[in-house]
Amino acid sequence: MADRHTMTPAADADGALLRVRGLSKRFDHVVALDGVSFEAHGNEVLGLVGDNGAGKSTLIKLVSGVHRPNAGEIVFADREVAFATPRDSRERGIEVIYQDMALVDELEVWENVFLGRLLRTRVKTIDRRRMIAEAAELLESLGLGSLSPTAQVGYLSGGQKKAVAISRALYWDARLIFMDEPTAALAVVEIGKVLELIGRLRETGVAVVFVSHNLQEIFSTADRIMVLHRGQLAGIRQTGETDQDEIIKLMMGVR
Amino acid sequence: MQAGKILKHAAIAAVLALGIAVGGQSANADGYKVIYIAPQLNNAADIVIARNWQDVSESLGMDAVIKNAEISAKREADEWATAIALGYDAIVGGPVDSLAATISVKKANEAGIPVFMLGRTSAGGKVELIARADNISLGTIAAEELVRRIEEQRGEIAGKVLELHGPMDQVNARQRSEAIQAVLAKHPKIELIRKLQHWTPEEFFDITKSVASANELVGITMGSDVIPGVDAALDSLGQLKKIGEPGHIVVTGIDADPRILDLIGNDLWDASALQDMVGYGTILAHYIKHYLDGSFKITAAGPIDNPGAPYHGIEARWSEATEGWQIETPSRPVDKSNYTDPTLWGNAIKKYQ
Amino acid sequence: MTRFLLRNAVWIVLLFTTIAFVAVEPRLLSVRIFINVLEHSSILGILVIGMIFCLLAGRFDLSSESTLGFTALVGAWMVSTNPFFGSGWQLPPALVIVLMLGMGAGVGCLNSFFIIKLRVNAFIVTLAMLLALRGFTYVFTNANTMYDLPPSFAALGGYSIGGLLPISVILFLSLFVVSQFVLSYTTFGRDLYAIGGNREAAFAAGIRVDRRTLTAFVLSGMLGALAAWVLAGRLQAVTINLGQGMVFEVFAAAVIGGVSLAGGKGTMMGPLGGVLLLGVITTGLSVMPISSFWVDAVRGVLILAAVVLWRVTEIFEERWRTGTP
Repeated sequence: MADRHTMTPAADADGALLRVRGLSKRFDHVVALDGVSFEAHGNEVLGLVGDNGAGKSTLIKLVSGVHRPNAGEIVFADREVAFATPRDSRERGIEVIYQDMALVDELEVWENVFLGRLLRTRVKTIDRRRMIAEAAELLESLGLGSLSPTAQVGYLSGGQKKAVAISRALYWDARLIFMDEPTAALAVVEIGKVLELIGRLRETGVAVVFVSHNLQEIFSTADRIMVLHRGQLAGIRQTGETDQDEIIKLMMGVR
Repeated sequence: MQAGKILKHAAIAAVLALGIAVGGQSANADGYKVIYIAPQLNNAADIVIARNWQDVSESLGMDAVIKNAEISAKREADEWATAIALGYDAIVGGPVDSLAATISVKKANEAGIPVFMLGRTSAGGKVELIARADNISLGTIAAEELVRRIEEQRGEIAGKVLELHGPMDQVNARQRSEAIQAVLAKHPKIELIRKLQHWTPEEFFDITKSVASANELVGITMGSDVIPGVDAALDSLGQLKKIGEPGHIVVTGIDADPRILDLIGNDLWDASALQDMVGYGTILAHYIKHYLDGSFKITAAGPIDNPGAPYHGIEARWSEATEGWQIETPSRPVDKSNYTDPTLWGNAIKKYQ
Repeated sequence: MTRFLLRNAVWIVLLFTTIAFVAVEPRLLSVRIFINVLEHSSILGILVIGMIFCLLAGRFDLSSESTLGFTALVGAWMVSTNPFFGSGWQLPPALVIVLMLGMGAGVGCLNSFFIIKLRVNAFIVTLAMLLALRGFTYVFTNANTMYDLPPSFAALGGYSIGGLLPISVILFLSLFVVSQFVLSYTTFGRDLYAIGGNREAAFAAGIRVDRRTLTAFVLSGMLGALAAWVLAGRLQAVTINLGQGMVFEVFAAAVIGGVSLAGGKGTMMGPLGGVLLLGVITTGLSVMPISSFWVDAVRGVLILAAVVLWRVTEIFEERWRTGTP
């Protein structure tokens, strides 16, 4: 396994890296997602909004292989995919930064960065020294130099944890990054840093799907805004061609 | 852990039920129907008690059934209630809990079913005859054999002796240990080291090894030799010597387990006080047959007088608590001179393999 | 420094307990007794290693003591040369050992099948497995003691180098070193921490949670079988109640050694201290001229004290953690 993916940005004719068609998911009798279709492009931040239970988390889990869809197709980088586990989606370059289930408190920062993909030496033992060095370098490059790679994650603040989660996604040179409420429970200064980070990611050609409850953040960051309502797609708008009122109406199901 | 016991005994019960089903076909259809409600069937000794009693009973023309209380007083009460309802001609008990079983015995008394006890007894109710081993005799013989052989080996009765005893809340463990202590107390040069264990081979091994490492022992005795570990511990210390060799540590036990008989044969174990499980089961089976026939009943304390019966000459004593008679079969030492005797339970058990 | 002391509290307790015992009973201060402690600890130690693999993954294996009892008895039954109580097959020891380890692995597979695939609670599954195995143990052997084991079969548990240092001691100490290495330096070991620490995060990060859990249970089963082999050789005989009740000491050693029952936290070296502490207590009490009536009470109180002490150090560590930004 190559340690880093050799990155080739979206190569679709119309620039779409991810295309989703008619994606549906039921849990017992509850329809969590109902025939949702959308596209995500490289060099673009797609804002994803919707009320609680609108299907945002389910959508992320379906695309990243945590759950299997009941219907619909997912085309990633021109190939139809059916990820059985998150491991498969990560190997293709899809990273998810979850709002709560991302990190292992008992482990140190470097190990969380490399979680599930520990680097190994030639004798197949884990390469602790190299991972610590690379984690330090990564944190430095993100302006998080004060964070020690050997600090135990359980001891970190909310913002620091989020930074670790984001740096993990970045280390692996993902092509598509889902961010589920990356700014929740953060101090104002930290929110600014995260939004700045998202902007920087877009510059590098990555497709970012950014979930937030805060419409101001969405409007200041996203290129397009996609709205879910009760598991269905309520609409997709260019940020410049809409306003908060319209988005709120879509979120509430008013047409 | 209760659930554990239920499940583990269910397995044995299944095996036994099979045996009974097969055995049942050969039973005399016109004979008396008798039942033994065993406290447990999870060790060779309890199985030998039950199977021998059943074999002898059937050889006398009775229809003998075994049930297993699986070390549960509740399960035991249920088995008794079923047996009473089915109207057996006699019920033989061996209670898990002597107090709880008293209630069951009284119910059988009310139903007019005679009750007998094998190996252990209830605390009350009317019991026609209790047949069991004499714990005092077991402990006394184990200790006397130990002392005698220490003298033979060392020239004097002196030195450190290890006694592995069971938990003191168990009647058998306490009576045996008290008898051992009483004998050893007569020999002032014997220093007794008493160690508690819970009948596990790991404890037998570890305690023997630790004590023998820190002390120069002349002898070892124990509440039951059904549990292995002592000889292996001595072996691992290089202290397992044959009888008569210099440095031999005298070892005597109680019960005379089949494995011990082999060790005795190899001169690696001095002696064991026999718990005559085959003997008292045989006695009880015969007595029940005679009792039900009406041909013989014990009427007075003292040696039983019924020539030809296997219990002839054995001392009967009145048991106040159970308003009936009891006999305690005395132990006898087993050593190199008699270890191949086929009537020893350790040899008799081989026919059940 | 404080943190280091807290993390290694068990070794300090071990040191003080040993000193206290030796002060009361100077005869304890001998190479022979020291080795007895190690030998006594070896069976418990091997089981504890298996339990730690499961505990770190956030599961536990109550069945290991009966895996020990079952494989020991069936193994002895197959290999015994006794004409009455064995199977009569007298299989070659090497084959029997392979079969025993295979049975241990099989128990681990069954456990994890129920836990992972059928999602039954690990407590229920391994408890049921414990009961079932004990039941089978009776069925197999007619409740007899198995003995007359061939010397080559008994060597691992019974042979001592120079008549003093048992191979089982070397085996058990090296197993601890190897498994500590596995935990610290292999992806399997690290993945266990991740799984026990946060199973969803581990899964989302692409760790093969099920496969790792299966491996932990299989290891636990095989270590149970290995302990069975050692113990059978040491006792030169196997009874149906072999290993019964050991699960309590296994948990005690793990907890005293700082392994979290919630998963994801602990080492091999801490519980090694716990195992040795229990060994010192047991061996010390059997050498000391203490009244038999007191042994159980003293033992229980000492174990309780060790567990409480561990909890106190943990509380201190939590304070230290929350008090630091």
